[in-house]
Amino acid sequence: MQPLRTQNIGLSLIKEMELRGSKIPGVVSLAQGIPSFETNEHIKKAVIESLSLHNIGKYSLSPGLLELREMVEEVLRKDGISYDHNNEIIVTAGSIEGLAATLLAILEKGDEVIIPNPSYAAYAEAVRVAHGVPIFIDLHKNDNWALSIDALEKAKSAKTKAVIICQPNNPTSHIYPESTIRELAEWAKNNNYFLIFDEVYKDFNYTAKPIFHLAKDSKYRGNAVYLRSFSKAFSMTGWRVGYILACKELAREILKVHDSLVTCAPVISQYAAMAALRYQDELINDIMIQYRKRRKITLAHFNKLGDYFECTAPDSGYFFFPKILFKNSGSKKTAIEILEKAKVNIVPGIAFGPAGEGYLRFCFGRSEEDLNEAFTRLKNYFHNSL
Amino acid sequence: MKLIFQIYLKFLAKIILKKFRPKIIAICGSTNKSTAVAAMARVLSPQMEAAASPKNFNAEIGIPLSILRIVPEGASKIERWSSIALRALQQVFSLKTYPKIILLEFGMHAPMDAEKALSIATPDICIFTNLAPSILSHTDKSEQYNKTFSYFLRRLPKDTALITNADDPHLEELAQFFPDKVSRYGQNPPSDWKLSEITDTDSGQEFNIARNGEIFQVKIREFGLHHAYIAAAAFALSSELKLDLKKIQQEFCK
Repeated sequence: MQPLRTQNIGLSLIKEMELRGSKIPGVVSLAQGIPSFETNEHIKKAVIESLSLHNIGKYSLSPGLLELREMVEEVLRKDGISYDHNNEIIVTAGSIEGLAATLLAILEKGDEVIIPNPSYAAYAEAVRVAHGVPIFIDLHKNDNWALSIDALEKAKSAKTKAVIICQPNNPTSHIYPESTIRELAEWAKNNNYFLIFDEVYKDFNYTAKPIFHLAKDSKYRGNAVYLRSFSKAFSMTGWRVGYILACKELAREILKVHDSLVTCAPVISQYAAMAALRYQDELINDIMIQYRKRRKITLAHFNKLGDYFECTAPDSGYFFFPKILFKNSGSKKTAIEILEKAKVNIVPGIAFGPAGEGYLRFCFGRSEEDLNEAFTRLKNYFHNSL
Repeated sequence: MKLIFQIYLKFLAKIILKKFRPKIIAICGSTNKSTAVAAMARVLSPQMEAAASPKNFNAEIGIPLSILRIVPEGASKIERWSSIALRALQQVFSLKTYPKIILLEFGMHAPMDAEKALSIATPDICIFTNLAPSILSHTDKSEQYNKTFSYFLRRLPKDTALITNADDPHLEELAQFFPDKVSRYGQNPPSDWKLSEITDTDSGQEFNIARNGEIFQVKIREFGLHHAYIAAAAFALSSELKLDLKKIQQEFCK
């Protein structure tokens, strides 16, 4: 076989850990960011009803069902954000397809994309898929993972095209403050770079302060693309549905790629998304009560493992990202050892970029039973092995 | 059970309509109905108090609840039926005043939906947003639209005032069923309310709405042509209601 371009593209370490874990019986997985909750009954019921009412088996228009895009526009308006559902909202097969379509639309071969890290593991590979070059800059681990414009300035080059920001961030679960986002936006605008905001955890906020969304400020709409998803807050990871917000000139280009990749997002999932939006306040409120509880349980477990990990309670998302305090030979080896010996699957920090080394990611989106079992095993492992 | 509930709500809603006789404005079309209802209620209200359908309250339960002015608690609208039923009955006895107009969203996917909506409330004024298809194979959907909306239009009383989008070819296909009193809005002839000079700005859109030589410059914060159409339809509605159009213009520009 001829050498393939994809040989230079790796499978994310998150998936690798899941594959490893699947071969070991009885593993409790806190690795992949999958909520333990089932998709809500209201959503399922609405989908069942839609099966008899609509043309579920037909393609929707490429940017998505008009009714869904209209609902998205209405929901956005409530948040003080204006995007035109006819030209500026594209329903995607999950946010990762949105990211791929965006990168394929904007990148020429060799263009650089700056990725503050640690950040979501798939960004770098998505950039490579689009013939781009990921350029990592480190977030300040000792300053609540702050993003520095100086670091961006140092990383920029004649080939820089875009910056990917995960707001709130995965795996650190911190929320970038408004001042940082505004500073970043101004910097990107001045340099004519695209800003790609991955906002899949936008509904997760354990702090008293609202999360700032740059989309509220129309001044930057020409430079920004926002990726959103129904996967996390509505426990709809398997439905593969999300949406993109971009100004019409940019959306028009992204749509061409989206069309050639998937034609349209799965229509049945689009009806599920409509139901999710219809009931969103109640659904998100209910699920956040559960996540708050799980976050508290997990934090209590970590407090008992204070000799081994240093961590703070996450501001958002459903991940803890503690620093490893015990002697180790790298986060990957440590995660594999924990998997094999304690039968608990977690993700090594290095999966999220070089600045993630020395950390591990634990997903607390799993059931309370799984969380308690995982930490019982971890305590036994650490007390007996270290 | 659901059917009994629908009949019960319809009965109570009809009592309210009979008692207060508000002017009924139906907002119809495939999309933009909720946006239109909200925008129109906002710009009309300083001159004329308007009741309005909450978002997507547009069928056998939503329309009566809108008339009864009940928004189930909790954004999900999954309040228990018994509680809604009790509140609906209380409204019939407790409402002492009522707005002069009510903007109702009519969601219709089949002739039966049109029949049901009209059996609850007969509109004095009917506004069409658009009839845009969502499915890639348009044929079935277009036929369905044609059947549903031609049925609806035929069932309207002769003196209903119709406000429709002149730029929507699906709507214009139904022209033979329009009532006598029609005013059109859009960028193209035969618009009575002509939209022009539509420009995107950093903070939204600017455009002109013109009728009989009178031009209203409008600035809005929303992006998207449909918002300009909604503004033009709101001007047509305000004219029908004999409101001060300068004030409508000011409300949009706020």
